[in-house]
Amino acid sequence: MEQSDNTARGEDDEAIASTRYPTSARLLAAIHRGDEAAIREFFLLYAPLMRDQARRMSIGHDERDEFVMTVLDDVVLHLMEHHIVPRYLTRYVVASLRNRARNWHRDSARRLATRERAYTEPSASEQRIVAECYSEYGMRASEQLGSDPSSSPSGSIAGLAQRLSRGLTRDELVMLICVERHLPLREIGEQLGITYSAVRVKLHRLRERFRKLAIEHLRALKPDERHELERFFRRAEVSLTRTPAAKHKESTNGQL
Amino acid sequence: MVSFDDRAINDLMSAVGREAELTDDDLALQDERFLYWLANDLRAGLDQDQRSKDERDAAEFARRALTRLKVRVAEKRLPRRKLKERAASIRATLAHSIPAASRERCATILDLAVAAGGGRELWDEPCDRWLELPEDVPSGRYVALRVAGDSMAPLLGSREVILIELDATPRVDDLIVARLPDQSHVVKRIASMKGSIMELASFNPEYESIFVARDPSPVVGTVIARFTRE
Repeated sequence: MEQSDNTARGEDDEAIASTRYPTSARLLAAIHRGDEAAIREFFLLYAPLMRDQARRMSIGHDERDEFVMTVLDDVVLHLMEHHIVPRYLTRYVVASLRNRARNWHRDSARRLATRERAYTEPSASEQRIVAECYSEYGMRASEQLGSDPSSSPSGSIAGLAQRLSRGLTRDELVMLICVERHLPLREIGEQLGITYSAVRVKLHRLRERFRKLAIEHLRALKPDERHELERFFRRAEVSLTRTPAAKHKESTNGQL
Repeated sequence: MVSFDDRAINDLMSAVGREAELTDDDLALQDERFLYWLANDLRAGLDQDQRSKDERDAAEFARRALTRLKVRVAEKRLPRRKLKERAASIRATLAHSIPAASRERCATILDLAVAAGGGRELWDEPCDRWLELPEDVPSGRYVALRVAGDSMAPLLGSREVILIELDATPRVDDLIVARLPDQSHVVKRIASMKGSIMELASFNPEYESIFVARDPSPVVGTVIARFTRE
């Protein structure tokens, strides 16, 4: 279980959307008492957020519900057992899931690597397998998936991601996360401590910067790299083709 | 020919935002208010089916969490010890064996599995094995019983031996051995004592609670230690 360093409660307790437990302090106090209704409320409040986080952390659909249930179970047990009072409950819960998901991926990768090693390095591996086929073909077929150089990540895609995120300030990155989460502009403003109009202006400038950088990047690519990038965008559900509504903006939008 | 309209740029910005959130904990966890907003937004966006499922899961979750907490507390109170047993100095019924065992800092081991049922009278059972009391256990009247069944799993497994203090006054959350009206014996946790009714609960959620009268007391004694045979 993750230990939080923000366990001292401040006065800036945030409100949560629960009529029975209007603040996280009250919710926590009830959880510490072992109040069954509070534990139920804790689950109802955080399960959707945890499922969303688990999806983003690439936890498979089939395992997601169980994964979330286990993390929340461990967190609530930890809170009750040690009477921990995280200063920021939601951050604490989300951090627990992110750490658990990383460990889960690391362990999965380790297990996979061990199994792969058992095939490619039968003498060095701790795992023993019964060899049914010693042919060259069999050995080649059982090679690790990542050993093929053609399957390495594309330089053009990595280049665009790096280029786009390079030079972005922290506030701009926060803004991008908020955009991705469809946060209302007023909420973004409150988060960054700026006004509604300032958010609009900043977002507009950011959008223009992105457009410029993306076009510059695409121009510099060779045709095959450009196709690859287009395929990547399609996979990421990013639409590069013009929508009919956007056609009238053609004069202001960059083109390749 | 490729052009970037506003929607494409928004998508691209979202993709970079998603990546930043995924890889950077400081950014992802930077604001409690944002996360609350997100939690409530996602909750509000659930469809009716998912909402109903969450309600069911939440009830199960709360029950399971509380049970796990009780098990953890009991595990701390009753750490597993190594069983040291020997032949009894006298062969007698439990009622006669207890004083003799007590003088030699032992507890009589009864080969009558708790929760086995069958209406046998505990005190008339013959005993020929004694358990040596651990050093930190004060002298007193004790009896050791073997557990049967899985109603108290994961704390108590089948064939584990528990040490019962006969003269203790049990409180809520204590583990006790109780005699049921059908004369069978069970080991359970006291979940509540309200008025003249005592609720005896299992750790295994598949077993229902048992309600017994507090007076006359069906309590045989309180579990103070558990032992495994190695």
